[in-house]
Amino acid sequence: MIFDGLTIVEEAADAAGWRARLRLETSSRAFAGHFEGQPILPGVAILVIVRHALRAMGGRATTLQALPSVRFRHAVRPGDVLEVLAARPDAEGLSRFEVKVGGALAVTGMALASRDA
Amino acid sequence: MPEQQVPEGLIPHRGPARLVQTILEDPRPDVLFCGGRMPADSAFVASGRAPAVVLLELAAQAAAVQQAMAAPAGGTPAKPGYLVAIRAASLSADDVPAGVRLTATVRRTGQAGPLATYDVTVTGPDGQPIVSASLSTHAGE
Repeated sequence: MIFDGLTIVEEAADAAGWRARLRLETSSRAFAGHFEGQPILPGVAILVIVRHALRAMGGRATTLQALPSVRFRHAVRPGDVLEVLAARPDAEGLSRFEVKVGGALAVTGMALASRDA
Repeated sequence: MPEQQVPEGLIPHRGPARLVQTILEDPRPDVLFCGGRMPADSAFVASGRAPAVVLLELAAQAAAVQQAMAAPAGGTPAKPGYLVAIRAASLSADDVPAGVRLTATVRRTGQAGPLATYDVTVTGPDGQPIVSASLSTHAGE
């Protein structure tokens, strides 16, 4: 489990990186209190998914050390299906990632994995 | 100033989504120190621990508190704001225990209409930084 109420529909890692389709259940506690009557996913939830992706590629000892840049473009809501792509970290440990909802970019960014990734 | 609870209606986060708890100090109009913790019933807590990156949400909520305190008093209810960008985030830990006392320091570095930028740091009980970053927020419609 990555976090409560996030269902992994598909997940695969290959030489290019980690790809997944993830469904946000309407019952997810990630929406509880965020916000009443207007539920949206906290942006940091996407970063928890990125942390999971780095571990899926580099092993459980891999840690998220830095986020040079992240841009949140669209709100993510209950029932949304996320299409996530995290590129395999380059020689400097940097991984580019993007999250799409309904084909539209919702979040983009770069993450730095620990050197043992 | 004595430590005081963040008023319930000051920001719209509720229940397990509410990470910020208290206002510790507001030494300048653009700087705020807040206390907080990861709630044990958060969606992001497993086996009593949460990914440290979630602490950026505590910092964002402290920024929302700073924004609300700086706004003219008008009695309007708190409305959702949005985290729109993160730059130069650095983490010194992979995860943190739930319930542990944390301190968020936010300094507003820019403001243009509903957009604001903040330099933020979240420290643990030992005073050591766990996460720091520059955040951009949108005050919402």
